[in-house]
Amino acid sequence: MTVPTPSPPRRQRRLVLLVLVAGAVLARRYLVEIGPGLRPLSRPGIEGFLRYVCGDYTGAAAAYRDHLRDLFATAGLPVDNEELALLQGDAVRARTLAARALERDPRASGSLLTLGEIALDEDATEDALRWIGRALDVAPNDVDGLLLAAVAYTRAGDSPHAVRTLSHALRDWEGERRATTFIRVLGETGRLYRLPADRRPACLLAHLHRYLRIYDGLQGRLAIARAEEAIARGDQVDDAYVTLGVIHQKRAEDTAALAAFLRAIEANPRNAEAHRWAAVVYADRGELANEYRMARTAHEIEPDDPAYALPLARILTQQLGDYRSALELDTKVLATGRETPALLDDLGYLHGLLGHGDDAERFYRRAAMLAPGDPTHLRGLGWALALQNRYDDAVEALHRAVALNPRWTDARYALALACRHAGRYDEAIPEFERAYREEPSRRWYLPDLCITYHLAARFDRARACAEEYTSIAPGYPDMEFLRSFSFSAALDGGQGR
Amino acid sequence: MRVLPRSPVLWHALAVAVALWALSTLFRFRVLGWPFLAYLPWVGSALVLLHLLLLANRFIAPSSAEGTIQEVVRRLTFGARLVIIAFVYWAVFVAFNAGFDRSARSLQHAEVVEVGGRTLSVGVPVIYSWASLRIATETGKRPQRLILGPDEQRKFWGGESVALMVGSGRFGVPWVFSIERDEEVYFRQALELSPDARQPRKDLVRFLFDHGRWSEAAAESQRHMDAYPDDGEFAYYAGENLNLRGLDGVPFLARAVALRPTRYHCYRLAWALTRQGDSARAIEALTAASSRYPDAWEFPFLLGYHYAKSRRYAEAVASLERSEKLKPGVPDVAVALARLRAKLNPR
Repeated sequence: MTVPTPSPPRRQRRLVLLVLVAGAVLARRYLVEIGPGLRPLSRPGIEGFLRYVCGDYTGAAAAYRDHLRDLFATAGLPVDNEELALLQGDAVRARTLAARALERDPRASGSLLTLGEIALDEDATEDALRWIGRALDVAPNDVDGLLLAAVAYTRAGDSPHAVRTLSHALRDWEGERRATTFIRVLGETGRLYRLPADRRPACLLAHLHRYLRIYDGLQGRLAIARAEEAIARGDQVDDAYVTLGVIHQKRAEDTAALAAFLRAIEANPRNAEAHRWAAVVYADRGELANEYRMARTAHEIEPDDPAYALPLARILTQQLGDYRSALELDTKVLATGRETPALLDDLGYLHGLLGHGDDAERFYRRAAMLAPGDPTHLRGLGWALALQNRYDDAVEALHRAVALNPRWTDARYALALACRHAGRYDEAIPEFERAYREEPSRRWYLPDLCITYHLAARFDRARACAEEYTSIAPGYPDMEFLRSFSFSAALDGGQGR
Repeated sequence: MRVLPRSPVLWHALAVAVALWALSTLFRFRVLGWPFLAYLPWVGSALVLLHLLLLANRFIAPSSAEGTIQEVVRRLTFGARLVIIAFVYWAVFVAFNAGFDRSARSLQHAEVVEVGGRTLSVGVPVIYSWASLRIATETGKRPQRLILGPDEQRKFWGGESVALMVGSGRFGVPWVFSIERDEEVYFRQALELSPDARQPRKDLVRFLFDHGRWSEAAAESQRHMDAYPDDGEFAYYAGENLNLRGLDGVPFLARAVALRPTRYHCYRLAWALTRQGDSARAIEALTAASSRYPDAWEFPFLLGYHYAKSRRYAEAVASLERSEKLKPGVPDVAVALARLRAKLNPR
């Protein structure tokens, strides 16, 4: 039997349909699945995207680099910045600017990294490692420094060190500041793929794909494939399992993630990251005992690393209520010189819970000073001041928090409560009213406003408010009582009224 | 009047739309009791896919020429129409059964045996999974299978304790209003592991209050206060919540005031005693608060109320006069003062 050849219009229609479907898939990938950094709107940018989609990472990195160079050239920026000079291929100028900056400040980590990048461009891997190492001595958690170090270790063929630094960067992820960092990592990934398949460091590639996954969810599949290869080959098995688990965890496959982390622990019981991630999954599942056990073991393996001390302190604070132990851990971390607003905020909270109002105030004030645009610390400060019965001061701090973020209902509600505690009932009322207006779910706390109306001697409003509440939530005798309360009832001898 | 479209392309597009609506309805109002219902989303997905293929076929070959393939397509289209009609009727029934259900929701405790299903990626991610449950009943544990929506897939895991809010249904077909993790089980587990842990008991108390189990909340609050007698903040929280719900919050509020006698805490204690009709203790609390906060108008006001109620009119007048001095213009005070003075001087 012969199959009839489709007629030309039908063939055309099939072609149109095929083009439409392929276009839709590509458009979806371009617009939805990948981060904006991977789809710049320029000729080299689109070339970079297409090369990236086809898996040509080296070519994609070169095209993205061209895009950045064109972008800065079009903007007409003067080359007085070492990073720009480097991007424009002017290594001499970049080196001069970086050296000058280092003369002024030998701890200028950005300039040390520029020299490291120049060395990478010149294939002087040893020099690159030396410069980047110096930058990391100044800022050990700097994400750019860690990623560039990973690139340099990869170049040097030192996969275990590359994996360790990448893992560190991903653990303390804060995003890169240097435009070229991502391009270098992408290019290095492409370089590794050009090696013969049996010589590719699978575990390192799994980590590189895990990094790229931040910008493109589909990289997760490649990370899993490389991690499985690494496990099969016995290449840093515990770290490969951790990467496998992390990708599963990000894809909401908690059971598979947990299994992978437990296998990592089995392969290497001293892998602190595996324990930390297992604690994260147990926390998601609400298994407090296991979460605590894992977080504690991670801390015991790396007792001096705040990345393991702080999660344990949070469990002790928020889940177990062991405030003293948590305070001890946080205080130790602070003593290592890692003073961050978040840590100071935690310390303020713990001191407050332990009734040390003045210490709580001190830490919150310091946090608010370090992060003046963040209302969270002022909200905490208000609480610490209220603990000391300094309600007027609390009101002032909370006013500042609300001014920084007027739509933050939680801070506004705290302000309303502080005003009420300070006896400033007329000021509390509009804050309560606005909080309920902006966040209607808070109306379950309407009794707060009803009671405040009463304290402000607005008895009719108090009664109406109590009536409204009893209509939405029957079975609240206190509100019934407020609704029916009147002084004349006492004179008339009414029961309880 | 013709309601359904004549054009086959429009008909397939309509079929896709109603199948998607029916699918979302089945996810929203999950029926409990018949395990085969857990597979219905597969039927819905297959229908959507089939109609998309038929739509593509119409696009490629719009003419209805004769031939074996066309005959198969025609029969398939007819069969798909029948299935989709049945599917939509079922979805409408489920929507009415749940939407017009005015019965009280009942709580059922269950354990997740396993979470099944998978994530399909065909350009558009399709997430469909189900949970096998063991629901605790009076006669033992009953196995059940429940479909899970995209947001719920991550939430549950094998061995987890969950709580289901179940409606009995307008037409008697039970449906699941919500399925949540049974937090109480985990708080109690944490307390078993570490009886002195402060936070799990606080969380348990909050959970019990939120779920209307007030006497249990009171008992757990008392346990916490026995273990941590200096936790004034918790004492106020428990006392206020018990008081609002008409239970005896006075011991907790009294403890909160003893630990931290703020103006507001003092008033709330006096108010709780007022609601209980305990004028003697209310007068005692208000007198102490009034001397601690001499500028606060509310203490002499409520004190006046209790004196008036106890027929101690002279003291009531004195209290209200003080209150009026601190906050002039409160209408109830002026009226009450006039009536009290009249009682003192009947002429």
